[in-house]
Amino acid sequence: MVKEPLVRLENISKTYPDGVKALDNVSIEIYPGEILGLLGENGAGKTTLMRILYGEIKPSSGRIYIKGREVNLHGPWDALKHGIRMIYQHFSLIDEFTVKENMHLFMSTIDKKASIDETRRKVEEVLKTLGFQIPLDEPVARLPIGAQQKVEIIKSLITGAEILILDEPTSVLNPLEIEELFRLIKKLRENGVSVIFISHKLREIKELTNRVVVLRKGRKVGEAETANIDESTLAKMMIGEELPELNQTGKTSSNNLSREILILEDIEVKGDKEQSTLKEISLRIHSGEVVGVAGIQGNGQKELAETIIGLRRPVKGRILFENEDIASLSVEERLRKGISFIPESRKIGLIGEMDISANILLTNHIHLVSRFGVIRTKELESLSLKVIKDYEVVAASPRVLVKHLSGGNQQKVMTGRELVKNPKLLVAMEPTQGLDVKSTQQIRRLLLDHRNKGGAVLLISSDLEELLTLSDRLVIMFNGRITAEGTPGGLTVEKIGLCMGGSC
Amino acid sequence: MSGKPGILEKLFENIASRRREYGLALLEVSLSILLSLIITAFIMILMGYSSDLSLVAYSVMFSKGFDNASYLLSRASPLIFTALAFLYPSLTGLFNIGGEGQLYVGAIASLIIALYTGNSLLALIAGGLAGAALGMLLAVLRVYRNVNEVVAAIMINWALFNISMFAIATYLTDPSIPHLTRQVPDTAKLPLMDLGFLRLNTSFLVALAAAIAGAFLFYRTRLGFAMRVSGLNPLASMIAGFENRKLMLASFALGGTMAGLGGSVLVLGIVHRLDTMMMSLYGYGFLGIGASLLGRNNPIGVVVSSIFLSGLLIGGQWIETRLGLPHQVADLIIGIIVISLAIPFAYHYMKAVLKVRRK
Repeated sequence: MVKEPLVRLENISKTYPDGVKALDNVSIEIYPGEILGLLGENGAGKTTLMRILYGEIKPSSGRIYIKGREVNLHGPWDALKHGIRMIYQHFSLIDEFTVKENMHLFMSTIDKKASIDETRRKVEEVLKTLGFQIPLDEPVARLPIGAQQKVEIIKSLITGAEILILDEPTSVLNPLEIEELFRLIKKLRENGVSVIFISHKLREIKELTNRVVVLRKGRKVGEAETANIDESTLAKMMIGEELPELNQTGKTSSNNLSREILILEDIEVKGDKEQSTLKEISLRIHSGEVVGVAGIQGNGQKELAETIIGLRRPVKGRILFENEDIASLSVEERLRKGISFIPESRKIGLIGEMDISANILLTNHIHLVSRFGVIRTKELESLSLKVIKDYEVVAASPRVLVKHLSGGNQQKVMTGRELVKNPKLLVAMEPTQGLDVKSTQQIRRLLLDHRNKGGAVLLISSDLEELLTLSDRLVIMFNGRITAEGTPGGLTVEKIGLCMGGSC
Repeated sequence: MSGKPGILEKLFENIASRRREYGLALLEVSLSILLSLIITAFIMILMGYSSDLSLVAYSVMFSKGFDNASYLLSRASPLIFTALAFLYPSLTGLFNIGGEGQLYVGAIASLIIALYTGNSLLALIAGGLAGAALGMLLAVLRVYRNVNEVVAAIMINWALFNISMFAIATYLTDPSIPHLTRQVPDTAKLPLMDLGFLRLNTSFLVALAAAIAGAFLFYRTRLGFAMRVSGLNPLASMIAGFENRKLMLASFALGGTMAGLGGSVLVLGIVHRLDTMMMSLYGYGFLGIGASLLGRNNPIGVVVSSIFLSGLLIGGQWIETRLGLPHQVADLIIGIIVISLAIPFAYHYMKAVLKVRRK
């Protein structure tokens, strides 16, 4: 086992211009003919690290050695010369071109003299060695996602890939396609190609990889031979062991008096991706409680929120709001009933080109127009002043354009305009994303205050600490299903990690 | 004034809080005009005219273009409408290039109704409806079949140009003057109002009313607010419970109505009859796009820019007759002024719209 590493990344750090530290002194090695798992939550720095290896991002400090020689990667073209290939979640294929043409397109960026017949011969040769088949003369758009991914992989192989980086390759695939992908990756290993497999799914890491490196918040927190480590240890490494202090004020004991506000029964909703399609979702939310939804992003949380507010229609199942079926109601009708929504991004919820007033009007228009649809400007003005005052938005007047506000103040506008309505149910997605500590605390306090006044909150967040601090109850989503449910105290970190990684 | 202290105060407060933006806009406009005059002078010198001729040309253009207010305002009326026809859909994030075709159908529908009923109100309504129907056609294609509204509009414009010409030549001509249609009966004409210092064409009042109503709709009602939101951020609009599809249909119908009414006032208030080559109609729809961009996407701004542009057009004709310059020189001056005025705005605006709508 005294093999020379193929690639060594040494003390890599990356600080973005806005001060975000994406990577902090990370070192990893990749050996020939192994499958290395790179495990971590969203924002752990997995993709950033790999984009550094692919030459797309320059590290702030650190060294890269390939086959023992230090290299300076100026861009992906340099990485390509060294036999490094990266395959993203979004494929870089041209839909209208046939498979062969796509292969040749990539081939000719590496070897300008190659003819299309040579490409074809090479592809056939590679497919034969691996024992796989792809229709070469079919336009890529007509192939299923799994086959398109194979095209991407074969494309890398014909140009002499030595290291193949796969970024969350299974997130777009269905279970059968995943099995097929794993078969292909294992074949690659037999043929001496090293594969770096980025994932947050414990089971896949365990099943596929030889060695695993765990990243958390930009740091390397663990490294092990996969055979010698079990899933629960990996889960703990991934999400961290330190439990946040439960310092809630006036936490409601789950009393029997609170009413059921929202009931989801066996909901099925088509998602953006296979992985985020909701299946058999059943959930009850009471007044006066915060229900937290944990999970790695893209496992159906967004679809869940959009189903509740009416942007998506369920294929199956019932949605009861105060014992009334609202599945067929429009977004506006649900707004009228008292369902409120804080979307996952300020870019979606706010209109930067409009002033604070107009952005407040956006989700309060129902109560602010006359019978003929004329806006009651005076009431809007006083409501705007109230939001600014009550929710501590720092702005000279309601006339200030939202794009001129800081992120924290924008978020306060987005949160305040919902809370000011005193909604019966508030669906809040990532309410403190990208905020500084002070703004984060303010927003969290507002959510708890709302709960204490008897409102129900569905809190969807990728910040586990936030969920554990604020939630009365916690559900965990994986692959569009609720995989676990319990109180924050009753769920161990290990259990949460396992469920988020799909192993429970 | 003491009865309503609030309104003026609010206006000033509004201006004060946006001082930077208004200041920048003013600076952009002044620089653009200056720049365009310099460029045109330069081109004229390159074309071999003496260097002081450009100054003379400018003075004729600006003095003659704006000295007859009655003529100026009546000339501006259809242009205000076609500019609004572009403006209203663009506030919803859509390009209505179809103003030209909508103007034709509006003009012909008005002419027919005026000839048969002799009632100006009915004729106006007919023109508006005809334009709206055509606007809706574009919107339906865009919303339900995902046909690019610009491409569809350009093709429909040309089809309608030829169909209209055929319809006029075949069914509407005056037997005694074969190259003109029959005249709108006096009862259906939009009257001139003699205010002493000004003979005001009612067409202008109708256009002004349309702009003010539009400003009210877009800035004071929920429907207009929803349309603007949908144009700026379709996702936010959905979350707010607005239905983007319906809003797109509504805004295109509104745009079509404006262009149709532009055709109506042209026929009922200004030319009173059409010619078989449609010389009196041709171009207003396209010019409206320029006027709308010049008006900085604001209904009241559009009124100002349309008057300004009409002044340049009238002044351009005077250059031709006064200085004997070919009319291309006048077109050149107008073109460069419009382009340089519109460039900064069109840049900001298209950047925003393209970012939102075409992903």
